[in-house]
Amino acid sequence: MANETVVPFGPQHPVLPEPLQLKLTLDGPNISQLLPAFGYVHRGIEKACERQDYQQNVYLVERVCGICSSIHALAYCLALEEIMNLEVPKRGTYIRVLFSEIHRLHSHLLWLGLLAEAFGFESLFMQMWRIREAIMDIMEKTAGNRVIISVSEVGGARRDVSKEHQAEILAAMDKLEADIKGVRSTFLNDYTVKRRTVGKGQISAETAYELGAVGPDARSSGVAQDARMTGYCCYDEFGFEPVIEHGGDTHSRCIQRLGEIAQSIDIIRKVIDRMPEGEIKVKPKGFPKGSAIVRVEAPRGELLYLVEANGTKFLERVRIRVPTFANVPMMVHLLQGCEFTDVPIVALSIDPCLSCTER
Amino acid sequence: MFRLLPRIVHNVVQGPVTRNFPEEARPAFELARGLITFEMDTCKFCGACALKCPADAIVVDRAAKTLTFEPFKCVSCAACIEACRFDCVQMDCEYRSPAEVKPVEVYKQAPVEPKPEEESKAS
Repeated sequence: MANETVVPFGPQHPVLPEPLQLKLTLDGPNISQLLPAFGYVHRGIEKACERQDYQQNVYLVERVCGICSSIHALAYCLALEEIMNLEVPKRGTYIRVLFSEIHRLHSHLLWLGLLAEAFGFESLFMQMWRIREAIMDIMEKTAGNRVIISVSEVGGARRDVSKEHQAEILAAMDKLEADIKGVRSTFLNDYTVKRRTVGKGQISAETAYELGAVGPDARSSGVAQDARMTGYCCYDEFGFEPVIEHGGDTHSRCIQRLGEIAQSIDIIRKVIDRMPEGEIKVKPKGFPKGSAIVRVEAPRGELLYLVEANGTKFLERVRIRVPTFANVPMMVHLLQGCEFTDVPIVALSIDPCLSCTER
Repeated sequence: MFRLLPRIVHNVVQGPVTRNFPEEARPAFELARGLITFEMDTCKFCGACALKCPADAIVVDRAAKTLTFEPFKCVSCAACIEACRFDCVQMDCEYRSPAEVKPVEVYKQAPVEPKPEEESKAS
């Protein structure tokens, strides 16, 4: 006779950065069924976008998520620039790429820290977040804020990056590389870390592809998909190749994100090295009319924006498809049959961002 | 655990990275976003700042020549600074201080006679 218990995981849970409820039906120590429940962070941002003019919406859309905020603003601005046929100057594009990659660094370092905390390794969690503080200081020095950095507007970049700041960013990248080297081998080779991550939440490339997984979760199973391969925002000029792992388990996701950190540092160095002179923005004229779909690579995966405009300064519709929304089927698949003690780690390993999912 | 040992030794030797706030405060970075203030000498009460504010923190009354600003609604995005054509808005690099009651700042323009600028705060 089955011994079934229903345990609510969340909405408040120490490992979750945002509230999510999973009703887990346990059959002995394993999960036999689970039912996710969302809606705890819904703020109605898509509806609110229809009430403000298209330039004010940049500030609203940035606040969908704190961890990937500048990528949301970038996607929205790219969509509107496509509708209004605006050509952003090259320097503006490079500044946007620079801050997107710095934002990706802070997001991956945050996730690595949370993962360490999920299996109880609090010292490692604190080490990763201490390393991340250097990135937050750089963002505050150059863009003005630690989290909502507000560097994109419709038409280009809002602020220029001076030569001194570029030198500071490069120095911070050197220090970051040295710091990561000190803690990297703990993630990759430590016995207790491997016991909690290797083989947990295993998924094959075919299943990940069929479930529609995006981002590092797909790439760590071997699916070679990255929205940056489409070459938006001059990414093709940096010789971008996605970082792929083949393990498909939590350990592979960890290695993949460490690889992406190294790749982002490399891209930041290339951007600063090749930064062109010139203007950083163009002034938008008139009102947008038409629609556009834009795909960009947020730290968690492919972010899709549909913007429909009707010729007035207010938009008709803004639809946001976030990467975590695409990864939820994968999370449900991973947690079926999982052991109860592995649930926090596996749920966290897909890097859930519920404030993105529920907007 | 032993893999972190060099890091642990380094941290012990280096000392704490945390600052003893508020006794030791880091001065704010120059380009950091902070408190918005208004310079009323050149203000024409056109309302461009109020129109562009995404948080509806500014209300401009052209007839009464007053500008009402709620600092606790402000998100320091600097849209008002970009919108103002008369350089009336400034942003400090220090963030607004906490308060027990949310203040509402009402800025009035000085009359035409050369008097020192009046600024009244009502909470």
